[in-house]
Amino acid sequence: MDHKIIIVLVAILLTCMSISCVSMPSSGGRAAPVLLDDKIIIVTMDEQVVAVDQNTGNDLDIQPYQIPYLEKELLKGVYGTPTVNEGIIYFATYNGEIYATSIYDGSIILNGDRFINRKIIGAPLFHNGNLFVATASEIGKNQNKDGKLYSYSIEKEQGKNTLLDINFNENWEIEVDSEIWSSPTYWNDDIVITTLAGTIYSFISNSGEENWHINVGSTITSTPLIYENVLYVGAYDGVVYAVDLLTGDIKWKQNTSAKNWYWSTPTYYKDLVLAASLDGRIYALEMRSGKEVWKYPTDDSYGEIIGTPLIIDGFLVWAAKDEIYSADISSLDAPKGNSEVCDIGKDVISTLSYNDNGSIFFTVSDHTIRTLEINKGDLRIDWKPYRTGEYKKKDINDKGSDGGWNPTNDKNLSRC
Amino acid sequence: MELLSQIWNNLLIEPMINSLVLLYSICGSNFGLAIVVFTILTRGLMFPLTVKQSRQMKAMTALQPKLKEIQAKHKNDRSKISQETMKMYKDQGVNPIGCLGPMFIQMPIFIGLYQAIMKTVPSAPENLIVLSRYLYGWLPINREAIPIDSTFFWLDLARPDSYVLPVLVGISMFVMQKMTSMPAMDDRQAQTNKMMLWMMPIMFGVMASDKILGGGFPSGLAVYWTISNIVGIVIQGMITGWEPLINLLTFFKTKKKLQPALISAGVNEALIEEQEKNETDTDDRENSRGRNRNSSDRVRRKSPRGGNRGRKQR
Repeated sequence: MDHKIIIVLVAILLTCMSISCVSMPSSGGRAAPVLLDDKIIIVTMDEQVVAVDQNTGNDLDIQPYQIPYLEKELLKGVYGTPTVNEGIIYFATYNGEIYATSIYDGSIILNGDRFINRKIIGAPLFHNGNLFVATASEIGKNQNKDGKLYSYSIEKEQGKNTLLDINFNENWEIEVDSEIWSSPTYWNDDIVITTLAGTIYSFISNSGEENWHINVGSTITSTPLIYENVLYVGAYDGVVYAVDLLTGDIKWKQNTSAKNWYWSTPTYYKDLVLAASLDGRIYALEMRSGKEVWKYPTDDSYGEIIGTPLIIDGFLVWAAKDEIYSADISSLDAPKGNSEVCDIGKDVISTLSYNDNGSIFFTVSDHTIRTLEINKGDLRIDWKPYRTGEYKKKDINDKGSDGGWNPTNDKNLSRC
Repeated sequence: MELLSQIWNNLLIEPMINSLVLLYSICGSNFGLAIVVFTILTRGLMFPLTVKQSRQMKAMTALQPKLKEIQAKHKNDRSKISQETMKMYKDQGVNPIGCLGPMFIQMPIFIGLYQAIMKTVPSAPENLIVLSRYLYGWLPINREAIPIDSTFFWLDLARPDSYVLPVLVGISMFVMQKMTSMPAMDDRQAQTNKMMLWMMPIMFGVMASDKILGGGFPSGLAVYWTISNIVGIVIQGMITGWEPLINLLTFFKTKKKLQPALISAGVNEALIEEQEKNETDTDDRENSRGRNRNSSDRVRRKSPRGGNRGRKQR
């Protein structure tokens, strides 16, 4: 029977090897680029804050800042797009730290000192001199799974070794019914948040006192759109809700034909609310009634849409997995025919950012920052991908990791 | 390779993930209970195979005397022993590796469940997006059940436990092994059996703990393994009898009572150790054939002879 023992031992060994080969899921971060004057400032997947020239894609004379995570830290990355106020960028990390850096020279003003011990996924919000941070669950074993909203006062002053220093003090904190994965947003002097339990809250920004809350019965991870006193948000049940910001009453809710969750913030164009779903489609709803006007595209071949679509000169522009699309919606009708498509080669992981010169910026899963020019819906590569972190050292013409991509500055050779 | 990966995902991972999420919804948003029900259902599906395995083992046990005869007859000719043994198995319709079937089926389920649990309870936002790709579009109840609450009593089912669950994994596996172990033909085989009896439970128990390097596998998987073992013990008991379990419990109970009594009766401690060794190597099924191996009886018979010699003074 010894051969049986050997077979069993080999089976156990193979099991162990298989399990060890299955990688533990890890966080990475998906912050969108921030556009300031002629700079792009981005917190990369390599845990760096870098500044790049918007026009050329070249390095600026600002040293990248490496976020000082501990060696064994599992919770890494910045998910929320950094917020900018008076020359300072604020961002929050997944492991609960808040940072502030100068946009002029990249110097650190706040070095993760405010350790909240809660996961932070949404972007911080700067409003009326205060910084608002929404959190998910506590970090560690037996963690509290309710979310919290924090308000901090920010007072700037001349520092000893830095251009600016800030006094950072907590005003108030409130616990809500579940984790908050979205970013806080504001309407007049109220702060609005959404939770995983499907509750939408409105608080008075100065005191943290609750105005109202309403539960829609389905998970919400997206930041809502606020437009003309109405809040619009999509949930995991495929329903888009419109809520009166004054009273908290639901104005309408539309059970769209979405086959997957609403993940990104909706946008709007004239009288339409446009909500993008992970099923790869954009749903256009009438702003007043919620009636579904159209959905695009109509077939199943497109990948999931993670970021908020853009509207540029009557053209709808969005990223679905590893491709960027644009389609004409100037008539408010569903786009006709095929959309313009640009094959990026690797997954687009951030929301698209856009400047007035007709350029779109985004980050890609291969640790690059990319740009496209858009001209009447026509997409073209602008400058070559900007590599970040360790990938910066690789040969820019290395085909291996880019799936055959061979970027150059020659626009005629672009893949779009 | 990509094709294999796709087949693996479509045939195993996706159904597992969707089953777990559906059970989670049905079981009142309790992921631990969902895993327990999933385990029972999986074992239920494997029941015919398990029954076949148990019957194979029972048949092989019944053939032990004949095997011993063959070994005695062809003592110096190993190839002849092998040949005669295989002929006998064939004539009797017994498959010597048939009893391994359930174990080999359990392996991909184990690995698949590990992946399914890690994907179902994502640790980062991008993993939730990955999860959305696995959920069936035609099952909206699944989409609305996310995110999963992985808390179950003191456990976070996506993370390994420290002590309690690893111990339960080890104990349940030990008992399962004891219920399904084959009688040894010789000393060498007895040694191997003993090694396997202890090695596998210890190995799996350690792998289930967060104290090992690399962190151990998630407690959801440990719950599955423990429940699977318990169900296996019940099935085995129903088919082949409960004697191994009874004997195991009796052995521990007797040992607990026996040792101080033996010492006070002046029985040599070396004799006690030899007694224990014999008990461990004893084939539990041979007990069921009526050979009187009751250890306390045997000691009682010895006691009067040893009683006047070297009785230790308290």
